[in-house]
Amino acid sequence: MPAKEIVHFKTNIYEYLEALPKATQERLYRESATCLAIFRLLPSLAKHFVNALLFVEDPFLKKDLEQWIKPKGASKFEESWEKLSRLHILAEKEGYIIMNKTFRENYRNCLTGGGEHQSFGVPPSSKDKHRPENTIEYLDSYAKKQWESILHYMVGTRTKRPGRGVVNLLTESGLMAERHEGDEDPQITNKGFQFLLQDINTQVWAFLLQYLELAGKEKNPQSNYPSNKILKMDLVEVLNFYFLLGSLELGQDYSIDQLTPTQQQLIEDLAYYGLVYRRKKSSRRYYPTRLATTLTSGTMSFTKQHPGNIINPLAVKDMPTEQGFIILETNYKLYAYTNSQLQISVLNLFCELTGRYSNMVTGKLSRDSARKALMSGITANQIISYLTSHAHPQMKQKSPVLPLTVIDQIRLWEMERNRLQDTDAFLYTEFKSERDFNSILDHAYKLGIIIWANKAKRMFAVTEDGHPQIREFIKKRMKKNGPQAGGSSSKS
Amino acid sequence: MSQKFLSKKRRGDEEYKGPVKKISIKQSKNERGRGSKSDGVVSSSSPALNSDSNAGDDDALIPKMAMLNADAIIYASQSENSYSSNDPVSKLFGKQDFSNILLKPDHESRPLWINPINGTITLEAFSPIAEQAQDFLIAISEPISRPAHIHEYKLTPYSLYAAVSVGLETEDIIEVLNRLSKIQIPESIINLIRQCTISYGKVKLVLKQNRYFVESSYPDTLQKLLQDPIIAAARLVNSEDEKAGIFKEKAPSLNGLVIVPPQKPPEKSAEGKPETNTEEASKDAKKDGSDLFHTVNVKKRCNELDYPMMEEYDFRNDNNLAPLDIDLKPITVIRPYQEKCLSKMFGNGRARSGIIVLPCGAGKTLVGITAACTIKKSTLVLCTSGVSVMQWKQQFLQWSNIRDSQIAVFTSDQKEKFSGPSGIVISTYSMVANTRNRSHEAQRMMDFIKGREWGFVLLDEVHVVPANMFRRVVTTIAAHTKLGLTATLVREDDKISDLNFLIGPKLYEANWLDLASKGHIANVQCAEVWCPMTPEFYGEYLRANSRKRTLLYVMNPKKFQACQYLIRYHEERGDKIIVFSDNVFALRAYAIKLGCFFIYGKTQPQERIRILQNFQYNPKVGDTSIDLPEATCLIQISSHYGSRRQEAQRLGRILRAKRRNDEGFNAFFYSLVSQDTQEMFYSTKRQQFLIDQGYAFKVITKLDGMEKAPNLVYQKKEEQVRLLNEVLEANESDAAIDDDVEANADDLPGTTTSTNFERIPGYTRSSASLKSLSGADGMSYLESDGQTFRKAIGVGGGSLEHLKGNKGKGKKRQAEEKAQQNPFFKKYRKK
Amino acid sequence: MVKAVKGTILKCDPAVKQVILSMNNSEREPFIIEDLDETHLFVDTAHVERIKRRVEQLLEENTYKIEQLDPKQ
Repeated sequence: MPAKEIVHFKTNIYEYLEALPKATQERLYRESATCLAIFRLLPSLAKHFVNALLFVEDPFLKKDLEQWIKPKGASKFEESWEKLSRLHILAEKEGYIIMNKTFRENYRNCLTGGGEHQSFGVPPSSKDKHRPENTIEYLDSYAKKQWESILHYMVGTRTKRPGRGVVNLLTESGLMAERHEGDEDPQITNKGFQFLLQDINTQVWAFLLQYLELAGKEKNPQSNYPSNKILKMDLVEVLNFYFLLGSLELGQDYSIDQLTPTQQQLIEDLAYYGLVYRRKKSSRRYYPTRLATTLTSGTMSFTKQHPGNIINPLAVKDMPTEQGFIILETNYKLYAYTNSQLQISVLNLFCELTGRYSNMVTGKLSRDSARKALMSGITANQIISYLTSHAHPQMKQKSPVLPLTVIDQIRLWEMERNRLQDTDAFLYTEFKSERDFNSILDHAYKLGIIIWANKAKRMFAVTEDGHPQIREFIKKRMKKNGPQAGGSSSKS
Repeated sequence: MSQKFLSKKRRGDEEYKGPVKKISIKQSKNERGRGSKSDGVVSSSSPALNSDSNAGDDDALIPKMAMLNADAIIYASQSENSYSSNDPVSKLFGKQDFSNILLKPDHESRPLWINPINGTITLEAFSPIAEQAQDFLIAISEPISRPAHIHEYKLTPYSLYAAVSVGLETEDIIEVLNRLSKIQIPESIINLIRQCTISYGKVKLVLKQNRYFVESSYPDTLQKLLQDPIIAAARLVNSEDEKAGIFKEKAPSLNGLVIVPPQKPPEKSAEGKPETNTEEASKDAKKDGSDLFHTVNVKKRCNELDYPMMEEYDFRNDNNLAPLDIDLKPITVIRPYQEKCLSKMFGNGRARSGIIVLPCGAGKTLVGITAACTIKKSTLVLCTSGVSVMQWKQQFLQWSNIRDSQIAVFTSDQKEKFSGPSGIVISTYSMVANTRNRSHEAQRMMDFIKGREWGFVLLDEVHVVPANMFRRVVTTIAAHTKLGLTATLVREDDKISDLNFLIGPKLYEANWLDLASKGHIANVQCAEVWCPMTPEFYGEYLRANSRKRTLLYVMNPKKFQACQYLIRYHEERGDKIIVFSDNVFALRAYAIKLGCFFIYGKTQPQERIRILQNFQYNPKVGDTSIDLPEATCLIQISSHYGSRRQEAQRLGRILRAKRRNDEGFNAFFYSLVSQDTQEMFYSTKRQQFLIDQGYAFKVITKLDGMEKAPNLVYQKKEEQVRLLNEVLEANESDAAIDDDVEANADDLPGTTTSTNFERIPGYTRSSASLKSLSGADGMSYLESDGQTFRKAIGVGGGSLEHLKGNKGKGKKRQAEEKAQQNPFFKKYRKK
Repeated sequence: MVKAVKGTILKCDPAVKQVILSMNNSEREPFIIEDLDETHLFVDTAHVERIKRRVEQLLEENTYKIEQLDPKQ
């Protein structure tokens, strides 16, 4: 039996942009900051093309561009071309390359310093009297606190409940779900668990994209904004602001006066996530935190250790700076060198914790503890990948890193849960002739509603939804072929 | 030879060097003896006293302190300030949150944590000083789990008693533990150690010149004991000199410092005469018997007074007991861990009584023989079966220079006595403990055994001997030193502590994985093979009573097929295979169906020998091994419920595989279990002991290639149904687990259940002497009941060649790679 | 006359099917509408939760929970 599919969610702003209608993309390109941010998201070869063609006014043959590429780089060329054309930055017409005008203009502006300045944020005219001391450190710890409180909430550490907006966003996006009717707090889902394991940049983007999705809806349920003030947010304005944040400078304060009403509403939510800091809601200025200023610098920068970089300790991506801390033994005992409450809470999702010293916690994997996780939708593979990527250096000396028997057992526990599957259905029986049976069965197969069929027994079962269609089909057939074709009687 | 190892031991034993600082574990003062104060000695042993003895009263034999409730001590000394940091995740741990206990600044170079509530010690086995730490921990605590990276031990009142017994002192234990610990030792643990050790080791019971002496380096303690009426009454006053109650004696020491006043040699008491003929011996035996009763009384009383006595034998200074001329042969090589065992036993120059735990195949016998060669006094060896008796004898002849005439065997068939004043007698527990229906000849033999003083009594396989039988043996034989040998102290009946106090504390327990990685025992790949029940069998299973259920899951056609397939696969590899079954009905059915030889209770002796000889056939010349046939692959189709001990013992069958030192060699251990039956439950339970020793059981849900294998049995539905009918028609008794096939006068009855073999109709006993000739390991009959032996002649050489091609890589690595070549142990691949 | 009956298809391995069959046989009112094949049953939807619980319980019974083994006292 296959492991339960992990529900994927968009974590990639690039994929999001690609999927936007051309007109929306056009509108996005009106902002220089956005153009720069999108440029930064491009693969390096694509960046090279854009820069090369930016100031070339004459028509340029695509063939000539291809000439630049060595034969072994062909696939990279294709990839870059794909991206650029999907974003409608470059297009091909009669063999010539055409660059999007809006993009070209605003991106040039951004490089040359032309056009409107406020594209890159405007500092307030006055100095901030309440500027926090050691601003950058303060902002870092603020961002970390805010973001981790969301993660804590997801893994079930009952500290402080984050704002309603955050909780709604988590449930709306399927990162958490109510397991039982009337539960006070929702519980983490497999999608949520997958989310936990991403690096922080991916997480932030996933959050922001989810926000975008909800922001575009008629009613905006996730906003902390009073409901009477809810506006249908303009996606372009939201996106422009995301990109603007990515171009701002850490430690600098900016005025909110130049922002659109949508963006002013947005900033309040972003403050909850720790992307921007505002002393109070009425403040006319805001400070972007590191979570915001690194938004468009690409995920790579997070793998390098900058002092003060905010790192998701749970991420499974290879982080050279992270020391693995989990030892899993062949007797199912687990020893984790950590004092991070977040890590402890994550372990608690699938492991029975048995003891804690100030630098180490002990626990064991048991059928019960694994089932608890599996029941909330966390998959065996997710557990294994978390344990593998955080394995202690002592474990990493061996191959495979985790004891095979334990990995197998986790998978067996998962498979055990799939031993009985139930599907509500309608069972069709008592067909008079094989011909009838076959043609109706064929039809049902075409509709893709067959759950089970047996030609020898002349029986098949279809989904509940498929039942009316088959009933109709049989009725029509009867009319056409006369009563001898066999009627249908249905009881429910 | 033995001298050498003794002095070596003392050096190794006394010092422990950690990277933190130099740590030295002192021996207690009187044990070290150098320049020590005079010891007081009370002689106790009076034939005149006949106070009623209730030697059968078990509890009184166990020191009170060792039965202390550790939880209560810890609870009482729980410090006021909380261990918990009371943060949002604290509640996940309940009382087990100790995150508020500060780490020492240099905690990273220290290898362990101590749980202040339950005394569990968690050790980083990868620490540079882990090995030294393990030596220390094994002495003061019980190992709980010892897998690859992190080990757990637990401090218990009993383990602390054992620590004192081998010469550690309270403050040393605390000090060393503190140096190894990442955190300050919690007050509760310090209290536990103090309370459990403080009065241990103050009083010793020393048997000298056939008299028991109560010895102590604390005169106050002796005075106090003397004031006790029971002890005072048991006291033997020999001369005017001793009227003062206490006389001083130089401490036993290797350097022999003379201390004033020089000891006046005590007059020989009547009981002390060395027996030279049986008539005298029998007379004396009675006296000895009553002495032993007094000793038990005194021992008991000391326990009650909170001065539990430890038993030691100052064999070097025993001029009374005739020496036995025995030494290890020069070619005999002792492995490092065997030396370690012996150093625990002889650490202070005297012999301590106790138990040594080594896995099967790790050379327990040689440890016992070396100990006998060290003590060099008359030795009595007690085993579990007649076959073992013969094996012990052969091993003595093989490893030591003992003369054939000095080694005697006492079984139901042979009743030999050694000639001269000293010698070795090898017998079984049953022979010695049996009190009824003794033949005249046996009675004379028993008188011979009871009537003399033994320098050394070796107790083999102590974990399988029923506690009451043990008590009888221990109380009827005058022994200076008792050494128990066993593969595992796991007992399903929780009588372990009983045995420990009857023999002595655990002196050493080996680390299985460690021995395997060093090539002393074979690397074993363990697997649990899941065999789905056929729908017909499972349908019946769901309807059946529990006995029938057992038979149904053992006889599952899919299990037959898996067994057949595995036999075929391993035969082709050149393995020698043993199939184990607890159930004779199933054993017979499997053997007949799969065309294997099989041995069980009814097997005629001649047939048995023929089968075993075939199996053991080995092209190598001069192989005098009398071990169990060199099996390299073991398949169990039915097991004794959840017996962890049986599992460990069965695994032991292949640990001594001859080829274990070949690079990349693996032995294979398969448990076939029928899916969705109770067998699954038992199987996991059975594995717990081995899993905690670091073994990993791979679950195989599907044997690679089995579905395509030709000529598997029971493939047709009709055949399966016929088999099902046979099973359903089988008698209830067939379903019973056959525990005891081999019972006879020598052998111990059923080890863990009460199922009686007599229920099997037509049962015939086989003769012990023939069995002995067969050269099989007695224990295999004892606990395995029915077995199938499969011979694999001729292929062995070929596979050896194959293995030799792999030189150069690490042994362990090779083993792993080798295991990968077995398709069943392949890395899990997701379908 | 073609008949269509509403119910629930249970897909399971042969062993689980045996459990359900034996459960069905021991009840006054059988809930199995049609025994489809070795791995499929068609049953009354009202009993599905109960069946699931029973199967769960059986799996539970055959699972040994690792207890803290007392180190030989």
